[in-house]
Amino acid sequence: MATVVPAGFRAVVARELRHLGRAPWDQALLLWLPAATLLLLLWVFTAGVPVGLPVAVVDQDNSAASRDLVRRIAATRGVAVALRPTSLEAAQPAVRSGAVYAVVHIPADWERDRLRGAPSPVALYGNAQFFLVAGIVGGDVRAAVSSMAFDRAVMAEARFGDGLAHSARRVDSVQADLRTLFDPALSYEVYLGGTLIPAILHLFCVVAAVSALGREFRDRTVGDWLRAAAGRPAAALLGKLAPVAVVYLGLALATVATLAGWRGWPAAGSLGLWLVAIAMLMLASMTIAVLMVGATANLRAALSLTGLYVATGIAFSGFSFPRAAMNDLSQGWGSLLPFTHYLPLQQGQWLGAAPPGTWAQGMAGLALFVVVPLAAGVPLLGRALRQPARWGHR
Amino acid sequence: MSFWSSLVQTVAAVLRDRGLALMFVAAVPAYSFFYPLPYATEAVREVPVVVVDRDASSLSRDIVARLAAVPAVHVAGTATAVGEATAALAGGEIGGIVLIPENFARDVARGTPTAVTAFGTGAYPVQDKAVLGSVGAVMQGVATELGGARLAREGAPAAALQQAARAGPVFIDQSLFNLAHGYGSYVVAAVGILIVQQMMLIAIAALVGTWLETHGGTLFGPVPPGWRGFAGTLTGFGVFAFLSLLYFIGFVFWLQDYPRGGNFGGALTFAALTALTFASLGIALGAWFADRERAFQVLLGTSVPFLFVCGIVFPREAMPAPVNALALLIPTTPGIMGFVKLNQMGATWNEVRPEALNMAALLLLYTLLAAWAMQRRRATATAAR
Repeated sequence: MATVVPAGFRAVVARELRHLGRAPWDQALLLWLPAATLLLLLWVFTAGVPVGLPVAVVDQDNSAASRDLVRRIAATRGVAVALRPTSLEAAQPAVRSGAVYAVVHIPADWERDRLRGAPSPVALYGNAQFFLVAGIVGGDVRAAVSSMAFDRAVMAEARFGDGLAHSARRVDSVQADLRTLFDPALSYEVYLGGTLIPAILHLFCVVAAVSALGREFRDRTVGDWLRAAAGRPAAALLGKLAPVAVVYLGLALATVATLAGWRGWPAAGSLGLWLVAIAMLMLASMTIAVLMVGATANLRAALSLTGLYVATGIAFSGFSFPRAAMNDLSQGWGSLLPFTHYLPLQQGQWLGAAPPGTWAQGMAGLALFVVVPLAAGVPLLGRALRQPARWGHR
Repeated sequence: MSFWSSLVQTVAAVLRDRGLALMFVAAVPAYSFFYPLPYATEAVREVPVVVVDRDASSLSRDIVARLAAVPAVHVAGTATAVGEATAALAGGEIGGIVLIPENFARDVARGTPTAVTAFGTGAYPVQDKAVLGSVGAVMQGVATELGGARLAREGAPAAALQQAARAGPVFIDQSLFNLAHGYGSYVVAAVGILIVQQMMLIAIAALVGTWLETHGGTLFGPVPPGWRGFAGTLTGFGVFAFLSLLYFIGFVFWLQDYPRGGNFGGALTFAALTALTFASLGIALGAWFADRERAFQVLLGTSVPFLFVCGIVFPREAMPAPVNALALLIPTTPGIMGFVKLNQMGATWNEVRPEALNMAALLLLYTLLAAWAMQRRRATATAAR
């Protein structure tokens, strides 16, 4: 075994491990902080779907029908009737102070006007500043109002005979059958936990690799590092990144095991292909770090670049706001980020059952983020290793 | 050291540090142009869908034409069976599939219950909502018209038909704030505050860490700063945070045309409180890290969790109680909520009292922590000398 693994590589790994043993901060940054952050993110979304979001109902009709509507609203999963102010003016401060997310207004004479044939609408005054909540509240209140409108339409239709069942069929004979494939419950644990956790893992991996490489330049210890590698830059680089690779491939495996196993969202496609994709993302994270440190030879500058390039990346990836809706500049920038290419690979294998051909095509794109940074970064890093004048800049 | 000389020295130290001056002055403007970019269009639009029209009638073509006219979706292609398009849906290439079944027009004419089916993808919930919402709205319009035709056939009186045709909606969904339902107006209003916090914490902690390494600056030089010098340093850093916050809530929100200025006086006061809190936490972190680069390493990965625990994206009601309690220790938790209420929702000072109290408590807590950490570091340094 000893002859297969070059001595320089082993010496660099041993040197790195010795350093980590002596430097609790670097150890925490490599492993404990990322692990804790991932667990925290997982914890945030464990409820899955928000329920009982508080709304106020202003019922100025006070009829049997309006009370029926309030009961239907209260019976939805997402919404809870928390306040019953008597006027819209009285309800406003409750929205502005955040006590409720929305106000449902049932106008005076609502039922009488309907019976007269001049119906007035029920109004939901929501708050799109809380976008996600507004969607849930809007959907549930709309469903409650629609269910009531449907029941009434059936009663009206029953005039024409044939009983209630037949009139229901006539009223509802043309429908929209709306179905969500892949995560049909729209669990936020899957949606946000499932996308943010790999994105954060990617960011921490770049930070860890940048820190491991950049530290040598900051501390002017490049000479010592190269000596341990017996003067061979390849052994120096590989030995340096080996501990990062082991930790982050382990964390990636743990992420997949947690989402697909422990949390109970099994892979609809191939677990193996998903694992290969997330491993490739970790590999890309490390090669991007090589490029950033090689280009700057400065730990602080490389970390600043990481913030700009990687930390903002998730917004451009289309995980929430779709890429198709973005302007050309954002779509173009998004396609220059590895996470944008990783995301459909994961969603395809985890939630959908995308065919291997689609996966292979996507992987080719993701692999470019290993090849290109390596091709550009290794010569740059090699040059920085030979220029002691550039070491020690902070 | 006097308050004013310490303040001036702090500002000078910031501007003299070539690596960090950019972080203090230029990073927030850079991010303010970069971060809102993906949301520049504000509305979800052009989500690609594939149509499977098994009916090929004039009615089905009418439905497809109506769907094509909806801005949220884009009819990207057709298929002869749903199975042909599911791989593209699973692979994320399209956002939905719309199926109009065989004999749809015939069944409608006969009154046999039938349905247009839309398949969205839960892997991308925003696209899912756009596709299902668009198909639902189109079909509601079609069903209403067909229902009117059916009533006429069944011999309903003309007056009743007219009344039904003129009837307004039974339900109105009107937002009180962010009236246009803009996605950027929602995200950037929150993330802007987070960007300022993260940049300021990193920059301040990095500078304080550098002072510790070099035994310099207003806090760690040979002369003990005293409480006046400490307050001057805190205020000096606070000035940069305050200006960054004003830049965001005044200039960026105006430039991007986001909702703004609901209670500008309140926002100014809250910005001053928030800026000092950022500064105190930055000093505390810097004194703890005692290292120039550590703040970058530690804080880069915290932005996403900080945003998601603040309660504006994912509601507090759905988060575990311990997470909500921990979140109260992060300035962005009251900060984002407070600024959104003041800027975008026009809340009165009374209506942001919980956020203001939370922020004031954090200012007190982190100022004490920063002063204590500074004293301890100075004591250790003196003992070592």
